Amino acid sequence: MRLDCDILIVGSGAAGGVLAATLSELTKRSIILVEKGGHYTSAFFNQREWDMNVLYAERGARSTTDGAMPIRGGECVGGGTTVNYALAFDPVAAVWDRWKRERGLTGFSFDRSAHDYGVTGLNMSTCLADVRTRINVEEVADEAVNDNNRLLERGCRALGLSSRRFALNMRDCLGCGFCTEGCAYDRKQGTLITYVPDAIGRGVRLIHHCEIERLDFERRAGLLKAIGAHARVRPTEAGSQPNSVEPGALQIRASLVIVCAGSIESPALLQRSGHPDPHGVIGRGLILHPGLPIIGIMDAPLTNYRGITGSIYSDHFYPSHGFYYECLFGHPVYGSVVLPFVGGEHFDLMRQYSRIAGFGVMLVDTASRANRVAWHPATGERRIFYQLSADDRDRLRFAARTGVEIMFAAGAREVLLPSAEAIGPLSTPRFRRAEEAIHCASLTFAPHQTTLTSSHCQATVKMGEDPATSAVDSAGRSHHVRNLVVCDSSVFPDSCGANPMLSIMTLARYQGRRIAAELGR
Amino acid sequence: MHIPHPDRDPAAALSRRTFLSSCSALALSFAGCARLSPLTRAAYALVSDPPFAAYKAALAGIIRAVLPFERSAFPVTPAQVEAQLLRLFELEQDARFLSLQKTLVFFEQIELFADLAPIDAELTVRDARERGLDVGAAVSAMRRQDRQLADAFAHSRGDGLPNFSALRLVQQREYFDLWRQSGFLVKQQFYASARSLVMISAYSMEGVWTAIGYEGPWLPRTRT
Repeated sequence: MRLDCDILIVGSGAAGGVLAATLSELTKRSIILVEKGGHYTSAFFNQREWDMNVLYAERGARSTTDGAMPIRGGECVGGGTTVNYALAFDPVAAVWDRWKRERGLTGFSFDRSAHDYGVTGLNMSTCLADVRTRINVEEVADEAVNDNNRLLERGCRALGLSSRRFALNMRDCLGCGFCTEGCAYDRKQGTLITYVPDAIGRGVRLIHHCEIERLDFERRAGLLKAIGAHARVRPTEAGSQPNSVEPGALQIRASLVIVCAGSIESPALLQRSGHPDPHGVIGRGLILHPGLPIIGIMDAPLTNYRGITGSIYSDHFYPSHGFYYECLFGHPVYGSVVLPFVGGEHFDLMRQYSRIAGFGVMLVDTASRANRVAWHPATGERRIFYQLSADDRDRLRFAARTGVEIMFAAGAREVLLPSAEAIGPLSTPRFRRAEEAIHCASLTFAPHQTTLTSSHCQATVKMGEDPATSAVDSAGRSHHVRNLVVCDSSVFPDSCGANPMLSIMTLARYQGRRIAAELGR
Repeated sequence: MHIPHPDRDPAAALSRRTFLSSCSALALSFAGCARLSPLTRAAYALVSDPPFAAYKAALAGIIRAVLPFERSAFPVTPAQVEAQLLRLFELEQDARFLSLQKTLVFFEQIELFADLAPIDAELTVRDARERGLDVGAAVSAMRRQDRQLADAFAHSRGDGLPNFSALRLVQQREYFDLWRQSGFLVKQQFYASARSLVMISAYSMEGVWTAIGYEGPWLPRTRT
């Protein structure tokens, strides 16, 4: 089957959904929005962890190639915005300003009166405001903070550390605690129920269960130009909305191709499509924001998995050490895998489920060329290589130690890390007293010994004005292929400095307005 | 020698064979292994697509090692967990599990542990080189470490080494833990994967939720 359109958008998550809506709002172009995963809606979300793994990349089993670090990511209509905790951090202006200085980026003004690219009112602040309004970003009300979040707040206060309330993209949250299984009540305002329906309502054609096998490039007068893609549409899985095309091979011709497949799939797609990469930059410098759970056993039962899962965080150490403490909690399937030990020792922990408190360290990691996404043509596999740098390990040790101290200050009688490492006199990181937290200095975070998690992949198709160090320019345009734009977290030069959803959506709104203005000229 | 069973679906069979021929994640070598019979069985596992019967006992043993069936408060049986595991994970159908199946065959033969030196050829080696590491020295050190672990385990037992599934529970747990302690990523990965499959299977069962005080879904509630 062959389809023709003006604009092909690959990916319907935080970036693709916003772009589809923005371009359909501001142009009359025909648009096809393709999504690798299925189109599941609230009627399907049954709040059972394992059933809902269909919403995730590789059914929740995606990890670094050594299997050591799970990398959670949405693979369904709405992408990560369907399965995340709705944590909405504004783009960090200081980070974008640094990128402008270091990478020669143009545009991205945070001045509300700026008119970037000569487009009236185009700047990051107005785009952020547009997005915040559409997805209803609001700070969590004090009465909605559950016990688990109160403990992080209390522990920080006891140690003289600052804490804050999250802003979330929710509307009248019921507090069921199943954000990561898809919101069964349509209260989370992800692109699934906001921007994607907006786009469809304006005539955008959504094709889900659609895997782009390769982008199609054409060489003319020595220049490569994107002309569409070859894809394969899988049969629609049970529970998904019907698709707009039949299963099978699909060729899509387009005048403009925008890749929004995320920081793992976007570079892999470029690589397997034969996108030129003379300086070996595509896929390199992967950022993962490694997370380390801090687990406390309290004396009394608490509300942990019910209520708003994440409402309190601390950015106290962000300026000095580059990490956050964020309050989150998992249901038993996830919890059983994260908690250490086997046999009775593990079960003894699980039996205290109602008395477990948890928050996590989110480390803003440093970019390394060796950390990368690599397409392996011989096997047709996409591989993810990642190791913490020495500096990252140091900062994570400090974060672990202070996190353990916070948990004790919050009232825990015992604190654990998801680790089997022997540290100092302790056979495992299982602490009975706050003073023992000092032994975190011995943690190595060796693969498969300590569980680190990730769900914030970034920076694998970096933007910059120098083709020797970047794959796309400030506008997201490929340095080597015309009519090809990349717009998602992969274009960040390094970490965006916080949970990335709002940064990605603001970028997409910005680039969408810019592209619309360009097409209109 | 057992002849691998044909896949039911020709398309799936092609996929599995293709996967097998290109599988680099479990390329294995044997250092100084003189025990022909286990080696033969291991070599067979490397080149074949093991049927369920070839790894059923090892899988059942791991389920027992990971979960506390000896505790009366643990509310489900090994058979129930195994059934749930096979329902959630299509080990026989899904090509992603081929490495796990093969490793289960190796895992069962305890005496192979120290001789089994996984060479994660294109993954670990290429990555190590990129990071400027001395691959040969690293592999030698990991082999020594595995030998020490195996010797200590054998010494603690004091007699011959049967297969894993024939060990007592405490020894099964000790042996399973050797794979976590190994320096080889492939062995660590096997430990983590096998543990995760069992945990996911058990804690997705409603009978276990009651025992840990988890109330489960909040539904039915009014949907918008």
